[in-house]
Amino acid sequence: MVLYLVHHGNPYLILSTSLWSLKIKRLLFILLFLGVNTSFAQTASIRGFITDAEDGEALAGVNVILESDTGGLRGSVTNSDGIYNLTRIPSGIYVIRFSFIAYSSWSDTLTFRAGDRLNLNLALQPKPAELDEVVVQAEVETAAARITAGLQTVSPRDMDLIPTPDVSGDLASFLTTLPGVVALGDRGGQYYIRGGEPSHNLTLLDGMHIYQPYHILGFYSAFPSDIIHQADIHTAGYGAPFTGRISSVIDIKSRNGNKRNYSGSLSVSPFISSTQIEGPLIYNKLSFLTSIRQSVVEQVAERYVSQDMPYTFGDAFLKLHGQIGSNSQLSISAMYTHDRGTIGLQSADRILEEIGWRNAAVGLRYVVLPRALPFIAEVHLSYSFLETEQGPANDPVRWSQISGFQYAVHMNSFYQRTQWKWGLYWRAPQVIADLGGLFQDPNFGKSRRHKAGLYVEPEFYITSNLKTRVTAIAELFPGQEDGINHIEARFRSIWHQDEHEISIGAGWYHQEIFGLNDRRDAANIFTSWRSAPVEDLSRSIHALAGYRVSPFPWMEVSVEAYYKLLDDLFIAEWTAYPRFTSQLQRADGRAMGVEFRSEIRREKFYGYINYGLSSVRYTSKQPSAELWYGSENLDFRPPHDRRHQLNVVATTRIASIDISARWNFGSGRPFTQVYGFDGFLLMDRALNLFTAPDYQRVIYGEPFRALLPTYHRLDISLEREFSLNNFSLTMQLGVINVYNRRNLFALDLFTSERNYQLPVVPVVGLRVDLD
Amino acid sequence: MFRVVLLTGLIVTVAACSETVDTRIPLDNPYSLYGIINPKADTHAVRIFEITNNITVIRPDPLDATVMTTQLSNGKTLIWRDSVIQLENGNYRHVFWSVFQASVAETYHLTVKRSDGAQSEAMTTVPPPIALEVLEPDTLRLRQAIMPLKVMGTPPALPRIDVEYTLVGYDEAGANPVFKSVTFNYAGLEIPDTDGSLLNIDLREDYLKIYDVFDEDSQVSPNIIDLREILVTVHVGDHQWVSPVGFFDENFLVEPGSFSNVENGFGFFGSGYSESISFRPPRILIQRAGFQVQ
Repeated sequence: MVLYLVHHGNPYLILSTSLWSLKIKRLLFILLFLGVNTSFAQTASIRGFITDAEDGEALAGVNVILESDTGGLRGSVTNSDGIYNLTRIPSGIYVIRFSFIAYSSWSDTLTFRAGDRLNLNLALQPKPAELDEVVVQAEVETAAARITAGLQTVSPRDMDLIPTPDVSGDLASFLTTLPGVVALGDRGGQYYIRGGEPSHNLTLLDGMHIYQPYHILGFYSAFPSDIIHQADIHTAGYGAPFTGRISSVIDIKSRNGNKRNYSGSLSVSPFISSTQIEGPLIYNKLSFLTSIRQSVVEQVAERYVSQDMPYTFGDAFLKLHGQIGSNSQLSISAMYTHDRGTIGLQSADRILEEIGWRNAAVGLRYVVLPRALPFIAEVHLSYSFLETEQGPANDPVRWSQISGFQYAVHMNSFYQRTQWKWGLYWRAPQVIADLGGLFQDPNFGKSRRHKAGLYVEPEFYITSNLKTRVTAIAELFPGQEDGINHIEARFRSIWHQDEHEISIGAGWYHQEIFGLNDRRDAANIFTSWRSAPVEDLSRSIHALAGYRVSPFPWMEVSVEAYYKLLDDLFIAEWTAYPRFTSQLQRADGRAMGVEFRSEIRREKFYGYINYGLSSVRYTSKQPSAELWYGSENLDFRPPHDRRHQLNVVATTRIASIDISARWNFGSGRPFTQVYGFDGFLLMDRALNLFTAPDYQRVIYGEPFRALLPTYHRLDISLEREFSLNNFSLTMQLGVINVYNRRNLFALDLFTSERNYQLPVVPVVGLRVDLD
Repeated sequence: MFRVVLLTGLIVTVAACSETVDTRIPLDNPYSLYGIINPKADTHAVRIFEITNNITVIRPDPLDATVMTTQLSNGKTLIWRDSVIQLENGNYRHVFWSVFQASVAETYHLTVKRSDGAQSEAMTTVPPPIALEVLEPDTLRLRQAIMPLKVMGTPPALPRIDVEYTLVGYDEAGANPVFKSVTFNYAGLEIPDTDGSLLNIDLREDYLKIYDVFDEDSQVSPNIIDLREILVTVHVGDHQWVSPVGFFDENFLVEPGSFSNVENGFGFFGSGYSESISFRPPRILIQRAGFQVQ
């Protein structure tokens, strides 16, 4: 066990002396007095970082209990950075106790005097695993049925349980097991979360925006489980500081890297190969973590899968994390991803174009526990970039780019029975699009919209069983019309008693940029980012209610219902022209559903079943629709409206072999049937019919009135780990799509040809972990 | 109860096993056609598209279609001939044509028949002729620059009225002339009048729009625009040649059936022609509108 205890008689003697750091602290100081009335001089406080003694990783969820000699108790739980914070401690003698499942507890007696601000950093020692505790550990960490007010926290272990064509897990594979997440297929990288479209989802990695986080082959995202410390999936009703998206948030925190020892891994599979290395650059102070993955689909998998798989993709991640003094941490993260491939079907009359995209992001995050002030502060600066193109690699027919800086300062403090979060941020995304080819309006040009925001989010611990969070956010758009500035309000309340938990939530959200794509064709995943018209930002209102219960120690069940009202969405105009249109059509919509989750944790078995029932409807306002369908409002189910979704995951261990299976079922998604194809001339005069140009035309039925076949697939994986001297070898045998279900991926309405998802694919994977 | 559960389970299982998907809605219509009987021409044409199940490149092979018109007043029938044209973009199209003199007020019935008997058909009645006459403008109204035009005759429809300005722009020094033409559609702005209708061409209003066009051109100064000539082309159509939305916008009318008189098919078959007249308005009117007279 390693203990760092600093008693601050004169705090600035121990602070980092760098100029930048001092400036930041001054800024934080000013911000504090803008927001909170402090009167802490008569009491004491204690904060610090809790880490794993073996590798220095932050430990989230550690219980911190402070017990006074009179028997009074105060408690706290470490956050994802391993930070705890206990404030307003009256003078006296206390026993402080740190406990965490599978780690040795630690306790000590401390004397607090008025005005003391202690900083106590602790490295907890993992205990040797015992059978009972392994089970309990699963109870703590697993996430399958643990959803509270729309939030589900996922650990790398949860991802590793899902059978994938790789020895390591990936966030993308886990997402597809969630009842509210709809994927259009096993390629394309498009995920719809509780009715929201891909561009309505905010994905953050260490605070950096990752605009297109999923790879072209749907098993993979930019986030292998090896680099993930924790992922918070907010499917609805999320609070601050998440803004700018109207449907959902995936907030990923990466691991910091091992500060004590070097370690690494190499893995190969038919689809991807990867390497990961981490270790200390300065022992116990500065660590690095790097991961590189590159697809080998064309070299390996395509040779034995009876399907063309012209996909190449990869990602690289680097993180440096340093402990600066005893009370602050600085990390720098960088990510790069690339994808390229051809989706859909080639035919004599249809030449498919390649699609490709590149993400790049770099971010800096500074977390500090100011010695003189009783709060936790985080400063964040990042730059994100996404370029998407369609057409030949060196001469794309169309491309779209979004990029920009984000700055944010987040504060967190406790005041009596209230946790206060507040902060401010500034973003300036720039969108550029150059749309050639068959687009109707050939060029969007370029636009940048600055946005400044500030928020305050108190969470009231009303009783020991009830807490309520209220959020107020003000967003300002400098240089834009006044009407675009707005206020957002959000609310969440959680009550728990023994094994029962009830949660409710609501929120009001705006989105100022959006992605436009052609929903008539699943294989067309080209997305053009645009700024919403200044007077009409996309908006949504969320409401949700959930109940969770553990009827037995080994079982957890939850149900959550949600409703999302979506206003001023911008979608591509409905047209009979057989080509992508960038002309906008305004639409309103709503998404609602109910999700059931049931999770079983037994000594030799772990599994869960979840089911989602949902309904999404859009009503678009298009003047021409009145002529076509008798009403200006075109009411339809968008193609991601999958009504039923069922997931079953089961894992067990037999003879040191980890066996996992996953079955996924989804009801058919809507699509538009076609009467046929002809040509069209605008007969506005007596044309010369020997020379007048015309257009090919699709004679569509009413939009999205038919259903595609159901989707279902069974994947199985067997893994065995062999431990040798300084390394371990993990071997994976698996089968994707065990019973060879022909699941439709793309249906070419123009040719009636179908493109199917992966057939039965045997998988062999190998992974070497070096310590 | 058990049977209900079993039956439900069976239905779900069968539904889940189905891999078939029907992308097509059955449609009996064999053709889409776009044709015109022009009483001012001796050759009439109709462009014909087969309604296909798949989007395909049209090949220059013979089309399985027999095209025929019947003149209803006398029952006279004519078989039209197929021709394959190649558009500027290289695509092939089938245009059927026939040579005859169409008579005013006659109704023609067009049938396009496939070898299996399926057919699309449409009828049109030839509109009467019109004449155009430029009237004397009222130059005493100082704040206006209106150029009146008389359309003599009462055709059933005027789908388009093109007013084309031939203009010359100059640079700031008044040199380097650049010719431009700008066209405005005056359809729907005609005012019923004795024996026809009256069209008031608002030179001032049009000048302001022309100014914007020239303003975007760096080679010319928008302050020196000379009006050389106005060409008015009135397109005349039969009684069916009326847009359901009041104007002809391809984004509205592209939907099959939204502007169509073809039975058992899509498209439009009408009778129509155009009349044109060109003139130069009086100098005082040109200047009052804002143009410079060089």
